[in-house]
Amino acid sequence: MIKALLGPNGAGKSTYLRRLMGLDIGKIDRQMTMVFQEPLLFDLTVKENVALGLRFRQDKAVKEKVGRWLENLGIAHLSARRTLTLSGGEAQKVALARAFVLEPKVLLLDEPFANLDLPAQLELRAKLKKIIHDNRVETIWVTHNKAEALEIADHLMIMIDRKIVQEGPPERVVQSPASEEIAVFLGIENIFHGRVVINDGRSYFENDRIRFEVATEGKADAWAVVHPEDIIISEQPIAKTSARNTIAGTVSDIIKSGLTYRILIKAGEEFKVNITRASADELTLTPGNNVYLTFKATAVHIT
Amino acid sequence: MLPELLNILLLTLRVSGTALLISILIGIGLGVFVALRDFPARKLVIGVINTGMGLPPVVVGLLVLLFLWRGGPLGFLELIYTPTAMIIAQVILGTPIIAGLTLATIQSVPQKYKWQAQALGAQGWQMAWLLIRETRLSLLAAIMAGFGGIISEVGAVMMVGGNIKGQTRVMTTAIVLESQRGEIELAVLLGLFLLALSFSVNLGLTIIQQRTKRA
Repeated sequence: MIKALLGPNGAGKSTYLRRLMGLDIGKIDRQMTMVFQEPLLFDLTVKENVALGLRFRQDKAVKEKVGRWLENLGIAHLSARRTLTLSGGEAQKVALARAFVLEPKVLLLDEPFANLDLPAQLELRAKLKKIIHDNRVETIWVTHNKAEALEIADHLMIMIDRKIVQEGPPERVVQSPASEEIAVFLGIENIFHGRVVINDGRSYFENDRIRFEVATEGKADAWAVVHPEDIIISEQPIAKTSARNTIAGTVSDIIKSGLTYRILIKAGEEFKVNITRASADELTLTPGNNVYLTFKATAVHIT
Repeated sequence: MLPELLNILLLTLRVSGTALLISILIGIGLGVFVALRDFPARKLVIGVINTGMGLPPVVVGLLVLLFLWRGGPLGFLELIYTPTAMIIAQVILGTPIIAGLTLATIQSVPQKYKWQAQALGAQGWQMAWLLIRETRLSLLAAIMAGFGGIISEVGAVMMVGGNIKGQTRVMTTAIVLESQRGEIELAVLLGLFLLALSFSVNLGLTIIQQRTKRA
């Protein structure tokens, strides 16, 4: 089980981990261990580093366990090397082996890959996730990288300003951020402020600039989120659709971003919609064009 | 003359060697303890250690003399004018040097390494052992500095040892005596011996130090 603790820099994530580990008061539970952002290897050989915690515990099977974990992390060939000569990725694998060899009940990871380049990050992320699950280690993995958090988390915790402000399954947190602050931090687009009113038994979100149907109860002070992935963009109103909202707007800008285009549309509020390059060519979108935005009432998330 | 020279050399080795060993044990132990533990009056202890690094040998000699003097508080031990008195004086001079440099060395290890050691389960002695290993190059330099302070010192051993021929005469006190007596050649010879002794001990420590550096 991996709990990801996600938050901006300076939110207090590292302090939170240090406190869990008991480092500030020097009271350590030996069933827990921690891996930091830097490998923090000691000036010994690789295998001596990995053996350290076992030696502290006067373990009887040091050699066998160290050998197994050097193997598991693919660094057996580095066993006799002095740590000063390792690359960043190799050094962090040694740090991980040094933690796993203790067979901890709880593993704390403080941005373990933040210092590595992207390919090394991606390789180690997948490897570490598998090892954690295979060994059923209760893990708290701190990161400020949203993509990393979403890739590894079974459970996502958001920390802002020293407080855990929301937690739950990652999809749910991303789909339904509990506040505007969280939504902004998660980089969620199309957030509007207004109110939810009931009219003829139907709910509408509205403010001075826009009005569309939603599927929640009335609320005087509300934030609406319409995820870009839930919006269909078209040149004519879509005739046959179960989606309750079709809004006319004007393309204000088109931003190319790799293989996808981000389309900015003025429709009362400014909407952002992501489409593939092929769809953009098909639609022949240019700034100033009139388009229609279609989305379901149930796709709108209200907080 | 030669047997006497040899005698002086051996006594110097015995006195300063013993003083160095005791200074290493107390100095490194104290330095590591003060660096890692928080206790009341810690700042005061650090202040005392740092002051001790620059103690004038004659003042230490005087102090030890006052304590060991027949009428003094420790006079009953009858240690005055013995090699043991000289060892005591040199330990008082050597210990703060080694303790002070050890303290600075251990304190300069970044906090995150200490956290990492704790997170791996290091407790008490294990943490001390790990940090001593990690900083062994600097600690060997601290030992060399302590040895330098002890072997070159003349004022204290002169006062508490009395420079008695065949009993408490060491290289430094012999050099002072011979040069005052006008036996310049003998004084120079003794000086060369002392230099050679100091050089070979430091060479030995340096070899140990640099061997550990091989990556």
